[in-house]
Amino acid sequence: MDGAPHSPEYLGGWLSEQLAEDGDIHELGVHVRVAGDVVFLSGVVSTEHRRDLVGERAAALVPGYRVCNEVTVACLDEPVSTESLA
Amino acid sequence: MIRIAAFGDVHVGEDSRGRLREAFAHVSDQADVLLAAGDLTKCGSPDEAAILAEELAGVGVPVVAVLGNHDHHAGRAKEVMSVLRAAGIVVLEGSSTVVEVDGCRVGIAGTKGFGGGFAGASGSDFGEPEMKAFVGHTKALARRLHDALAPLDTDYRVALMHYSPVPDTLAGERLEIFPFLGSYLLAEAVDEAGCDLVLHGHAHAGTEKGVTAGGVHVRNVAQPVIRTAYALYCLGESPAASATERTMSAATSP
Repeated sequence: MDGAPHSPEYLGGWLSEQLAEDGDIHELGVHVRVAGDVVFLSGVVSTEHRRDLVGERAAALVPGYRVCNEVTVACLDEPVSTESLA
Repeated sequence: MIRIAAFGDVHVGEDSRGRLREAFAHVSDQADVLLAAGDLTKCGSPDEAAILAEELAGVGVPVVAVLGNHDHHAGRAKEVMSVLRAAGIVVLEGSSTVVEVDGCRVGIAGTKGFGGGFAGASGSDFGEPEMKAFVGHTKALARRLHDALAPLDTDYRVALMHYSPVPDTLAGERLEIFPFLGSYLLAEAVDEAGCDLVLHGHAHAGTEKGVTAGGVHVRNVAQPVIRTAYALYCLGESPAASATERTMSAATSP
C-alpha cells in the first residue's frame, strides 16, 4: 500500500485517484466505497478486460482489504426503439 | 425528417477491437447520420483513434464527432482528430457541418465543452489564475458553439458536445461533481442561437433526458446511460407517425 493513506476515511478517495490516473486503466467512472475491511467497486466500463483489470489493480493497491468488484460492462445491444422529437 | 443515431463514452482501447463493428452493423438501416459525443478513446492516443476508425468503417452513414476529456489526456488531441478525419469522420470543435438527406438539411455544431457548474452554483472567472483558466475555457468554448450554431440555415439544428449543458441529465451523479460534468454556459449558448436537440455524454451515472431553460431537448447518450450501443432519435415527422396521425384524424373526423 505504498502511498496509500493510513486512515480508512481517505482510502476510497485515494483509490479512486489511482484508478483514474493509472496508465493502464484511466477509469473515472468507477465508484469506490470502503466499508470495514471491504472495498466495493461499482460503475460501468467498456470491456470485460478493463472490469477485471480494475479489480486486480485495486486488490494489489490495498492488500489488507477484500475487494468486491461489482463493476459491469457497457451493453452494446442495438436499440429497439426511436424517440420522435418532432 | 432526419434520423439520428448517437453514442458517447465508448472509451476505445486495444481491448475494444472487434466489439463495436458488430454493434454498429445495422446503423444505416436505422439512421441517416451517426453522432459521437466524445470520450471516443481511453486515454487519447492516435492508436486508439485508429481502432475506433476501423470499427466504424463501413457504417454506411456520415459520422460526426466531438472529442471528450479522455481524448485530450495524452496531449495528442490534434493527432486524434487527424486520424479520425483521415477515416472520413467529421470532427467538430467550435465548428459545424451540414448533412442532407432526401432534401432535409440538418446542421450540427459541436464542441467538447467543459465544466463550471450550473446557474446559481457555478464557478466564476475570478481569483486565482487556475480558476480563471477553468471558467475562461468554458466561456470560450460556449461562445464558439454559439457562433457555429447561429448561422446554420438548415431545417434542423443539433448541438453536439461532451460535457452537459443542463443538470437534468446529471441526475444520478453525485451533486458534488456537477461542476466537473458541465456548465449552464453551454445551454445559454444553445438557447440564444436556437437549436432542436443537444446531445452530450460524460455523465456515466446520469439520466438520458433533459431540457434547457429555453425548451431545447437534451439527451445524454453516454453508453452506460442509454444501455445500448447507440440511441435513436427522429427530428421531424416520421412517415410512420404521419400515417398513424392521418389514420387517427380520419377516424375521429365528424
